Amino acid sequence: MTEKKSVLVVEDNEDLLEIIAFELEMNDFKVFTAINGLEGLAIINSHKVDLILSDIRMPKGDGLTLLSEVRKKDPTYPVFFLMTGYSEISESDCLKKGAQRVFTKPFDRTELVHSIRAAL
Amino acid sequence: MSRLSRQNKILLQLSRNHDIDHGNLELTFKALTEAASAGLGVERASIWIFNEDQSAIICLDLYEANTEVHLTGQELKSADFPHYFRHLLEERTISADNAHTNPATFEFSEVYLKPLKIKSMLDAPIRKNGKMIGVICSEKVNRLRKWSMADQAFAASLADLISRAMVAHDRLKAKEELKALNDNLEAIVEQRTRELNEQRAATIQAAKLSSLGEMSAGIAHEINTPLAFIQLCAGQLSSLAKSDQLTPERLCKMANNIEAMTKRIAAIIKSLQSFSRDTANDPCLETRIDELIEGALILCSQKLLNTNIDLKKNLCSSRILCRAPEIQQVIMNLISNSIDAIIDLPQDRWICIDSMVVGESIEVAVTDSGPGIEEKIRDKIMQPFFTTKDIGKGTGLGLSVSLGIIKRHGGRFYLDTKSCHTRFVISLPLQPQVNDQAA
Repeated sequence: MTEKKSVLVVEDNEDLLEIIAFELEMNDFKVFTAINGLEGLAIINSHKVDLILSDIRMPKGDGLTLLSEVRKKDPTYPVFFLMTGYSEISESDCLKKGAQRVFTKPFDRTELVHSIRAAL
Repeated sequence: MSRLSRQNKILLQLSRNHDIDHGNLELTFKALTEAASAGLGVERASIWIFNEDQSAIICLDLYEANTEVHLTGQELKSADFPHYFRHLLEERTISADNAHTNPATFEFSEVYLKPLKIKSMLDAPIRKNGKMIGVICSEKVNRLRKWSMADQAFAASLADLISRAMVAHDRLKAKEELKALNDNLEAIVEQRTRELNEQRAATIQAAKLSSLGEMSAGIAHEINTPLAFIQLCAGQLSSLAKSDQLTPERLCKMANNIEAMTKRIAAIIKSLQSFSRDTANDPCLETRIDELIEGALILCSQKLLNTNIDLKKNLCSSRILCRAPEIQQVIMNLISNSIDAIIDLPQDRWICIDSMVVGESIEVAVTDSGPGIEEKIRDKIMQPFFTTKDIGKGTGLGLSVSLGIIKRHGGRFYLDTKSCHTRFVISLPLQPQVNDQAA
């Protein structure tokens, strides 16, 4: 049996965080959760994480900072962003900075799972 | 009764005539030509006034005793009767016992006197404000008349009464014009006040929309995050139900979460609606100050989110009468300014909101960890269009609009210069006298 792929979900809204984690677990992923970029970074440094799905606007370490930290270590590491569509940064800017995929809230869960699976 | 006593009696009656002092010219002229006719025993008496360039005299009333008819409108041109006009302009009484031969009146002989059978004329000058403006003319028909000094004095008295009536008329006319001007001025002031009020409401509305624009990213986040939750939850419920994995516990938990999220969205939309609508004509309503402040915080919570700014609150739950969205606008503006001011501080970033009852007022203070406002610009910060922000960032209307809003609530809005941090204080009376005229 192959080892489950792992996803780190970083989201400051804990209700949303919990339910995304549940969705991914139902789809056979191993899930780590963090409520901000700093916590997320700590998890990446101590665990094997295959993909990051992160909100952009968060207190204590936003998604973009997390992305740049990750990119320092691995330029191809898959990072997906969750955004609200009206952030100060546009979707195309996120992609330019190295995000592999950007989802705008509210998003389609099937598409999310499908994209994560495809990236791994 | 002698002519002299008749003349005196007539003058006495005229002295009680209200039409004269009320400036009622038409009735005065009629009364005076009839008086001239009766007092001097003449068949024709008339009042003539110079036109503007003194090139003619116009008849304002001619009384014919035989027919008891009053006529107006005849005109005598100076070009046709140059001798008569020259004598008139000497401003003395023309006493023509024989009008056909008198050097002042002979020109009238063929065209005027003979057809009307006039033999004698007595013209007394009418003066107004020291200037000769016309004559009262008495004409004896069919036989010559020798005008006595008393006749001349009587005619002069009638001329004075005409003058008195005309002065009264001018005074009343001026009074009416002044009243019209005053009414007009009042209307202008009223109109201007209305325009200023409209402008003020428009300024408040524009400033609101500007701050809403600034907050829109945060508001979208506030709404889209719970929406994402609800969408995901609904999909999961459906999947779980299809695969028989939906336990009652999970169903309850997810349903409760969905309910909480929809309530959250509804609260945000409600605060947006009440904030963005034009409140200029709203009445003041009783509002809990802590709820009001929390509502303002919802709208700017996302601007705070990524800033690592610590938000402290010490709120009382007292109630005030106010237009809540306007007060929220002031508070939001202060918080927004505080964020802009301290966001780049290397450490110790905090904003503190206090509300407390002080005497008959409620004070809301917004303090931030910034070092305060430079002394040299303290006097200017409340002026419209003054801003320290970069071009394109601040409208420069925030504090001046805030000041206007608080003044209209009968309150005070000021920078607390005694604080070592930047501290703005809104002081609102618990029982406000709302002042809609304040700027």
